[in-house]
Amino acid sequence: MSIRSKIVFIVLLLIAPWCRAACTHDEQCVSPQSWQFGVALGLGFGSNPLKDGDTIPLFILPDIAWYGEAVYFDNGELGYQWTEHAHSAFVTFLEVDQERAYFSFWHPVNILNPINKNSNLTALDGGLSTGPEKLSIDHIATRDWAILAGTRWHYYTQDAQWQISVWQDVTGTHNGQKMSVYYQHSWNWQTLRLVAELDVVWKSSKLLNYYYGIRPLDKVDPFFYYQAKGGWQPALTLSIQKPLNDKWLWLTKLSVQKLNKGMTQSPLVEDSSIYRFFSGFAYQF
Amino acid sequence: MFTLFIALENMTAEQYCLSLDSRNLGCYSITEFPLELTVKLEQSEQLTLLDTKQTTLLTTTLFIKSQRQKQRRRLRSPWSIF
Repeated sequence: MSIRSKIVFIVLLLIAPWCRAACTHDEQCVSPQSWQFGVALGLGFGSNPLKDGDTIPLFILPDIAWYGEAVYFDNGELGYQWTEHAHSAFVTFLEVDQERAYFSFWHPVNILNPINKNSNLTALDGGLSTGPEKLSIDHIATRDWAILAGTRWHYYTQDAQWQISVWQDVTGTHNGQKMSVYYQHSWNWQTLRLVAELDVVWKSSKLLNYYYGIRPLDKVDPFFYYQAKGGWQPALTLSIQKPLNDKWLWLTKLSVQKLNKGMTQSPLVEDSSIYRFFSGFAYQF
Repeated sequence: MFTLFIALENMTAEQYCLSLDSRNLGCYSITEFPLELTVKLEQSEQLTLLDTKQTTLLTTTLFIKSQRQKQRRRLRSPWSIF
């Protein structure tokens, strides 16, 4: 024990908290085994590029996420996270292909006459000699939903994020693929949080042709037959968030997505871009 | 992760060893002190100073008085259903 009286053993802890991964923005952090649930009420829309396709109204915007240790569900994506580091992550996941939504949401055919989804082009019922008339989603065979399996690599920096993703249809609906390169940058200005997202998506010919191609199965005038081709569809999204207190925030989002020619030249498509807008008040439980 | 700053005073031997509970943190020459070591600490553990014969000279407990709950980073942006 005499040695103890002669020496001093000094230990200082210089740096404290150990964090599982850099999670600097509170709204992007979630405790394992917990839910995050939010609802935004406001006004908005999503344009529908299809002929006779209804603009999709947006009154309610949910935000639903559950995270376990590796498994997660986040806004429609069910996935497994293989790696988690401060600056990167790697995941695989399943999600519903949103392409099908343009063919059904609030569409009069689906509300007023849901049985007659495979109806022929009315103007052509009397014969094919009437020449080309307007073709819309009222007249073609039903397009099915697809489930996509995807894998994605994330790379994080202080205020930015890169993602590289690939998807494959696993339901045999169209057997198509997608891939994307995504960049997100965020700024904090006074009490506002501004986020810009650039998502450059490539969709395969199989995917686009299934939804936007016209073929004998559609039972329309062969004049309308069309084979859609794959291509790039870049999208830009801007969002502004202003926290009002711990639970409420003001949220505005605006996006524009440019469609490729292989899709826009389809007789079903009349717009070359898709616009979305939402502004409202969000409550986070 | 934590950074430990370890200083010795009035120590004469040429080399000392350190352990954190059962983990050996290595042996160091007296000239290497004061010493900085980075360690992963998830619970309170005992830091021990030993001589080269593995005789315990001193111990001190590193207490974790509070710990922030581990958090995961969300993989989709909030409100990404938009």
